[in-house]
Amino acid sequence: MTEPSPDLLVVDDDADVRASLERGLRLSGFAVRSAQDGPGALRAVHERVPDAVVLDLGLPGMDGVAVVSALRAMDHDVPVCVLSARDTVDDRVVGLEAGADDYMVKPFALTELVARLRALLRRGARSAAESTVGPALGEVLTTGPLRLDLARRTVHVGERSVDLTKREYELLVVLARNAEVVLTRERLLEMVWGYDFATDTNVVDVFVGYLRRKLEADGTPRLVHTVRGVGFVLREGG
Amino acid sequence: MSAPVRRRSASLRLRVALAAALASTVVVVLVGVLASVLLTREQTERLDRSLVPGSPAVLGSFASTRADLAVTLRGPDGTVRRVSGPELPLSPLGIPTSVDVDGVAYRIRTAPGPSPGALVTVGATEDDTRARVAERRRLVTGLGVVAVALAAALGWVFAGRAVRPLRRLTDRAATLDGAVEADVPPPTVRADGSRESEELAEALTAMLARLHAEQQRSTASLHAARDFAAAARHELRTPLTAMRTDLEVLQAHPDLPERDEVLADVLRAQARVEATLTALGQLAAGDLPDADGGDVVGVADLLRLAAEDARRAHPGLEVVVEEPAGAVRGSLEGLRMALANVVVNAVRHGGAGCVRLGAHAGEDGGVVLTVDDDGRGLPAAEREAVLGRFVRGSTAGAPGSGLGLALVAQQAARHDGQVHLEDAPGGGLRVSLAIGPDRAG
Repeated sequence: MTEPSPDLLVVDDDADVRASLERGLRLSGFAVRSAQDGPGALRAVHERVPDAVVLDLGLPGMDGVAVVSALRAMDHDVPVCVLSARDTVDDRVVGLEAGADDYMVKPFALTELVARLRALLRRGARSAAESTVGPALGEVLTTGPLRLDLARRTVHVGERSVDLTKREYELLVVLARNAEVVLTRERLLEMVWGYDFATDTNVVDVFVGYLRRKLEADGTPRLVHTVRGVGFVLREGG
Repeated sequence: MSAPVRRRSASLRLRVALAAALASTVVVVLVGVLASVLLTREQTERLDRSLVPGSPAVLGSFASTRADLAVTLRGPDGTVRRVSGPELPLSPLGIPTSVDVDGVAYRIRTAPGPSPGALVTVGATEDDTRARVAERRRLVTGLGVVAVALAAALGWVFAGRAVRPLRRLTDRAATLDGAVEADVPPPTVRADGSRESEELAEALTAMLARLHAEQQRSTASLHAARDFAAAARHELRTPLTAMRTDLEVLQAHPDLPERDEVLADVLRAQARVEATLTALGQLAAGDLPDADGGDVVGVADLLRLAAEDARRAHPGLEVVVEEPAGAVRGSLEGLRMALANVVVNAVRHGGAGCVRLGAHAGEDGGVVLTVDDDGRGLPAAEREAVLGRFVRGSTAGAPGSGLGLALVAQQAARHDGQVHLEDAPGGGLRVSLAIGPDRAG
């Protein structure tokens, strides 16, 4: 049985990087289109929505963050992996905050990028399949003041509604389903991102950081706790 | 580390008070000694005037009225007759002399006597005189001590007023923040009231301003270095990403039909890394200030060298070179490198087939080096931006580090000048490297 090659969109302003990635990803079994700037990327998405996007953050004019924001604003929830040529943490995470799913710092290993893209694509297909069935109506997860309505995909802390990106929401759901259970980073990578292989990334920590910031915005006591050396756990109180 | 404990010097105020006391002491001593001498002389003269010889009878009656008087008569035959008091010795005629008679100091005077050949010696004890002199001396000494004390006290008081501006200056200086903030203008120190304190305050203000300027310079260069390092890392990561991807492709697909194409891409990416590193090295070297202001470089020599470089680096390129007169003061290697970068730029990004190297006098009296090409040119909107570091024009072809024209701009700045991009007379782009008038020569 031959599946059709997943359709990838590679966005980078550097012609050499674009050419290399196009070739490398094509040889890894993807159908690759490319764009050299933000408007070009949005045009390509408008033509045909790709299965995943590999997006350079440092685009001239409309930068990668703006592209991610625009994609999410248009309700495209394709997996987006951003590429950053800067190594400061702030720059790493801005794309994720706007709704990207993962990031890699240039120069990266092509095999790593391929593995993550495949995992994100599998994961995306599965959650799409799940969402057609949908959770049982009225299924609600609560931990302390936190309330997740899985049917409506809404999150409340007390009376306050919390707006989460797709990946933040999925991470919170996994943590809430396993409330009081400590989950390792590896387990979370597998459950939320579908990364069932060893990979060197702190993307879990970054997303936990986002969750905390949003959940604790009005001074709510910490819900997502770090268990030093082990991982993370959702529970009320220390 | 603690500063070694230094013994504090005496305060300026105390020094002024002591100086006043010392000065008044000198004056008082001089005046006292003079007064004492004059007083002694005056008293002695007065005593001497009283030793006027008269007739023995008169003398006898006179002597009888004053217990301190003694009169001795000597006859021509050597007989001695004491008229009153102890026997006085002979003294030279007419000259008052001090003598000691039985332990009592006398002032005596001998004069011819009433009868021919006779001598009369009149004497008076000096005790009274000395006592009077001593009494006056004590008075003068007492007044002197009072004067000295008064001078010291007044010195203390007035010095206190005089050093008040200095004291204020000290207080102001102590409240100045030790750390000079780069973004806060330096404070102005004022201490009006005396010229010295005003001068000191001005010097202090000037020093703070210098410190502030220095601080700002080093902060700015630190920021620039940090930005530059970040940009350089960013710049190297891009070709390295392409290179790594290509190498992984080669590794994963040993029998790839496009193998040669991938290898060519790897080599191109490698060339980019190398070019960027070279340019970074040149930029770093160009950031070093010229200590001596540079050598005198003949413009014609410079252009000839640059033309040779261009012909060597780009064998297919037609190079036209003018032979202008004149010379500039600066770095031959720096200017040559700048011109080489302009030529590379023309060939690589402009697609030029011919460049023309020339020079003319600038409007401000400097020298303008020009490189005209017959290439594609550059959109006017980008002509300023491409002089920045890591900025490429939209028409640029790879590989390029984005540093070539930045290097040219740096060399221009190093020679007190600037770079200007405009349309060349024959189409294409003209890059003008203006060298400041101070450098012409």
